[in-house]
Amino acid sequence: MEELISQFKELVEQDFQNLSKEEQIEFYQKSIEDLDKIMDTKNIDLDIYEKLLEIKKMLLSKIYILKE
Amino acid sequence: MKKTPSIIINSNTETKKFLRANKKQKFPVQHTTERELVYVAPDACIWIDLEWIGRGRSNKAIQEYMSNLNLLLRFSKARNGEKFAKGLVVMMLMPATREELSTYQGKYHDVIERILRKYAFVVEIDEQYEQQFKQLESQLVKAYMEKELFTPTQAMDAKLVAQASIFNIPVVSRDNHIVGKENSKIEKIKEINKEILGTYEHQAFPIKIKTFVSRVAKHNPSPAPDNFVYLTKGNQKELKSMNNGKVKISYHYDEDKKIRRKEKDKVAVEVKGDKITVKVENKEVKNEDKIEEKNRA
Repeated sequence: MEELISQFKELVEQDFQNLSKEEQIEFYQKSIEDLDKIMDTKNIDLDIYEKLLEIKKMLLSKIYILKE
Repeated sequence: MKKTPSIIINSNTETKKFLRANKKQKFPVQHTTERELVYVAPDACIWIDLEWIGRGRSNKAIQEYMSNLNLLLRFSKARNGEKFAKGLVVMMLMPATREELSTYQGKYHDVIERILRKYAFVVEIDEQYEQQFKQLESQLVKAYMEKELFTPTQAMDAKLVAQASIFNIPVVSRDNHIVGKENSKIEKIKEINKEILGTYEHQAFPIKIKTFVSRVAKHNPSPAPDNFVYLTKGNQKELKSMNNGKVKISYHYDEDKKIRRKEKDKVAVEVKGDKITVKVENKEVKNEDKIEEKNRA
């Protein structure tokens, strides 16, 4: 799980300037969908949930900035 | 005139019945008033910590923090079936936080569902005002970002603060980038809010849980919520019933008129001979024919 969290963190830190705005938004939205599936796991540890939530917030923030 | 013992200040039907039935008895004077509800918008991390408390466990080493959370839960309104029962504090789930704690299909994440179902008052924006609300929110977030109060990866936190500010409801958080390590950040947020939303007697701003809980416990004045007109009719109905019909649904923000609370009325005086016309915000309210010279000014 820790490895997965660090992979998602790397994703957030990456710059996708070679992609258009729409492509970036689509990519981040798909990543959030994948994150949501993990976060929606029954009996997931709350500490892990919180770490994943931080990543989700950053992805949502990126989408918000791209859409503005 | 018969003096009714002033035990309860609001006199509803039940109270009148009770007083009539017990009119011979003397009651000690109690200055009790029904306290107005206090509104707060916890951020996602606070909801997670509340879930820990709900499970009877502590996830943070700082016991003072956990006991403040415990107090918050005890003060808060909890659902008993469909309706909210008891409690003084209404914990509002803002759209930004809801997005974080739900799946892309709109369903709460399994782990956080219990606490949200029990305590969260879900804020829903009426379709009619959605565009206006988003415009305001966007204005606020832009202003916060320009002043570097939030980084681009903290845009969701800026969004939460903006949404709560529109309703003049404080955000409660444990993150320094929201509540500010120094007062200067909060002052900047207040300045931006004043400029865009107007002045309030008690302006809401992000605070730490300790401050919020202490404020509630000491009966300190709380920010009066505003702009509930943006909410859906269902939301407004529920709020009214929680407040025993007393909550005011205020005007909605009008970009053209820029109505601000507590702003002095703009008065224009037009003098033509003996005729003086006084206009207050484009509305003619006075038209006096004969005014003495010394009163003209």
